[in-house]
Amino acid sequence: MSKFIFTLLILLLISCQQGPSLAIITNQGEDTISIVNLNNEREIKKISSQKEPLAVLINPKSNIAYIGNVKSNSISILDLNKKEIIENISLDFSPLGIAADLNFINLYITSWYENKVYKVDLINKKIKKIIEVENTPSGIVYNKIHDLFIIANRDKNSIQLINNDLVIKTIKVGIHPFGVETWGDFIYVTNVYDDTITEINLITFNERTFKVGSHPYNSKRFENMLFVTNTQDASVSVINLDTMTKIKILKTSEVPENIDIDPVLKKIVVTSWAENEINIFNLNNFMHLKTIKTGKESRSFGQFIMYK
Amino acid sequence: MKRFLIFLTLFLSFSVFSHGPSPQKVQKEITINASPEKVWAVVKDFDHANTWLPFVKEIKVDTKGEDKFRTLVLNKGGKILEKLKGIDNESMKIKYEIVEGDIPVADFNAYITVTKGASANESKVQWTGRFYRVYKLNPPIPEGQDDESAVKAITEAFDAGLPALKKLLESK
Repeated sequence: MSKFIFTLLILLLISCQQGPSLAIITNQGEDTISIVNLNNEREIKKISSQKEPLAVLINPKSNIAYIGNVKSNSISILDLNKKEIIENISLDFSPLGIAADLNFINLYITSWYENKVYKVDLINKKIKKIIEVENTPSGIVYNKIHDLFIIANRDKNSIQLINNDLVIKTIKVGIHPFGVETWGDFIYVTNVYDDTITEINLITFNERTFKVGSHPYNSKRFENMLFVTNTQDASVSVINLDTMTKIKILKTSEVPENIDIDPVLKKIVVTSWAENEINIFNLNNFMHLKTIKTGKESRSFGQFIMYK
Repeated sequence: MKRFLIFLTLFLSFSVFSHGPSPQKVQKEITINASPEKVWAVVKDFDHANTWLPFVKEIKVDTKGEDKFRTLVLNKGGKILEKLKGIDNESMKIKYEIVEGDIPVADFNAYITVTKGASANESKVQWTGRFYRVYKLNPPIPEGQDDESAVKAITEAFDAGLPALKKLLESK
């Protein structure tokens, strides 16, 4: 009997340590961050942030979320264990997209107006390098297989690949690329003005372009499927990348901007800027599971789910 | 001293406006003493919104392929070209966008929804616009092309339109 209780206690302890999967939602219009428990699909805490939080990047190893505050010119460090902001890093520019290198030694942050990517050292919390890029850099992701940062330059209709802090390649894509996603050897660029996605193979540099809905904003790949938010259609296009066919349209709240996936709970989360909420869908059967009110102008540009 | 003041002014103006352009939202709602069906019949009539929009003198409708456009001829002078994005009778929602026009906004998209009110003869109309300011590049931002000007123009339009819609429907 005592063995049984001991095992139960151990299991309970493990489950407490693991905690639930979390979605970190930046509410730009009210300077708050909603922390949503994805296991029971409830908001568990809303915290005040600096001005106009937009981008999110999560370090799952340290349980930290980095939040870009576009009007405060800062990055907030959100401790997901304590569910508190433990530090703010002041910058002399407005952060848009955020990515990190392999072990989160440095953040790489796009600065829309300055046509630059800033490398910020997370140990000293200082700018370590400035990389000149093309006009209006927006989305940024890191591909660890190829050790590449990929940025979308909206007004130049291009993406650029950065390796070892140098721009090594510039590729023309569709009109007004904004969001970028990467998976294995592939990049997916969301071209807002021509309603398309450009897929680029990082080995061959072969490209495929396919139509999605109206004004796509960002995308997320899972296995052989790509999920694309269509801001003006209130939908997510689900593309089968093997057959290049649209297999499903998920109806969302108005102006769905960003999307992330919990591969363990098998849930898709979409932020709705216009309706101040998130939609949660089942990744297996695409059924709508729940809509949760979060805060004014929910956005979460980047990777915003910490799954367990 | 003068140089220092010039530097300070430039520094402060850059600090205030150095963030990237963010989408702006104007959302307005009004309660109308008329059934949702009656309200929706007026709201969804893309071709004849001049019956309730008080700042519109005339509407010219045009189609290109499957796309429908309307040109709003404004009372104060000037025009706005808009494209119909969709009409959903089930959810009573109409969507449209501004293609170009004499209004200080960029990338303007909007939707109007009609929902049931507290009684069968009451409706709620909500009008939501998402847009950017005209000037998206480096500060200094030219006068009239900033976020405030864009928000003001749309707020004025919505604030004029919704009470006029209410007046029209409640007098019928």
